[in-house]
Amino acid sequence: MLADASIGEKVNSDDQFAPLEVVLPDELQKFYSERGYLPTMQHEDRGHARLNVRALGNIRFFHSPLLLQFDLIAKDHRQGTVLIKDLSKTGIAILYHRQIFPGESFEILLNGRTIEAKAVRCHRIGPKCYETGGIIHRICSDAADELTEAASWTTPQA
Amino acid sequence: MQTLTSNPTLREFIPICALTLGCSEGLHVDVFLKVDAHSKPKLFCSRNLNVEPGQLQELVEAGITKLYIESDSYQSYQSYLRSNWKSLLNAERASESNRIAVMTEVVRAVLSEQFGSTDTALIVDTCNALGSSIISILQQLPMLVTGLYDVMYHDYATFTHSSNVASYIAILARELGFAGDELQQIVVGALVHDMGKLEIPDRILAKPGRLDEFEFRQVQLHPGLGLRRLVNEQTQLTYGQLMIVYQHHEKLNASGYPVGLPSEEIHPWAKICAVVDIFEALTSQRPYRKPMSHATALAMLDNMARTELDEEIVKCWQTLVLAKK
Repeated sequence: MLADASIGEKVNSDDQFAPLEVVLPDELQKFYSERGYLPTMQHEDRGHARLNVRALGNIRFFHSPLLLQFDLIAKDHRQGTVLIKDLSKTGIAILYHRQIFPGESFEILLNGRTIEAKAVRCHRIGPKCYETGGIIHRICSDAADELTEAASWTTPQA
Repeated sequence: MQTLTSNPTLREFIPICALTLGCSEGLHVDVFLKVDAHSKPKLFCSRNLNVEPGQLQELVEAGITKLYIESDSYQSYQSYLRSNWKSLLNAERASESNRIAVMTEVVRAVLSEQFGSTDTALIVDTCNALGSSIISILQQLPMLVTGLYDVMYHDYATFTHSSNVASYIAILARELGFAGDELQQIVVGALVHDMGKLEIPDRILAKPGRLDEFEFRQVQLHPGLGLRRLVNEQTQLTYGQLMIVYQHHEKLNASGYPVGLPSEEIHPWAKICAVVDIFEALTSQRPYRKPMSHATALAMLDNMARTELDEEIVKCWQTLVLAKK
């Protein structure tokens, strides 16, 4: 499901998604209208271009030693709804309502597609809005759409 | 013709804590004594003899706390400390300052070896034992930060910094009311708080000039790198200890790193560690600047209180640093 500004209302009335708890701060007011590739600075040391993607997904934490060891979140919070922010051949950035610790593994389900990834960094953008960057381990998909293409490209397409 | 090493005026000597000698396990390096600060080191005990307890007692009574070894013997001395660290830390000593001096030197030597290891579980086990010794020694002594500072090393090595931060936090956390198992956990958390720096290249950590943006970003990765290593290796650290590692650079006004958490989301142990971590960094020699005085460092902490650091913790630390004998 590609997202637009009313996606929060849609998702909260849709049985396939848990309620979206992410609250976008003012600095992300153009979030839904951004398109195309993100600018990349040399110091970021990236290997692949990142494509702005606006989509919703179900996130499930399937290997989270920190959370499981200390039972930080109740069982019913071990899954939720994320906003996908951008995607490259090897990485994904998502917005979630709580911080995700480095090393936590998760999978994101959307439209019959599964993206398995591990968090490497997390940055708080605002209350109930944390951007997490993850390394993609695997994408299982039969879909031929924008997301799948983005994940297969190594350089921006003209 | 004299060779370089046969002339005491041309040799380089390193001061060591006199009371770290005296273990039955021999040191096997030549030990020298300076009668006063400007005199040449004279041979005190040759490498094929052990320093006898009676000799050490005479030094203590004469107020001599430092002996000297040649710089090329330093590795042997470090090895000796590591072999004997448990007995050295547990030995009864006449004065408080002597016990602290031995503790500082031994903890630093053991950490320097452990931090070179890839066995994370072993590092954590050793830090647990070191943490117990630090608490045991400091609990029996008046809480004087200046006395501790005087016997500490103040270089920028990660193991030196970690050792110092652990000693400081033992004093601060105790003053804040922590005791028993919680205090032990906090001290061990401080010993491993910078483990992520072991994965940052030395050329960045020891760079004499200002870090560029890429280098600064690399340094900012260390809390996350430390957390991942300690979690992935399934060490038996508690959640609070892991948050010391991950959150000790977070600031109350959400301007810190790696996440930019606000005050209410920062673990209280990480807030305690942040204060002594900054104080230790400011008052130590860094590749890019000289150590600051205690007064200057406390003034900087005061400026950061409320907006970046917990005010109550900063006030408590100021009181401890300014306490007089």
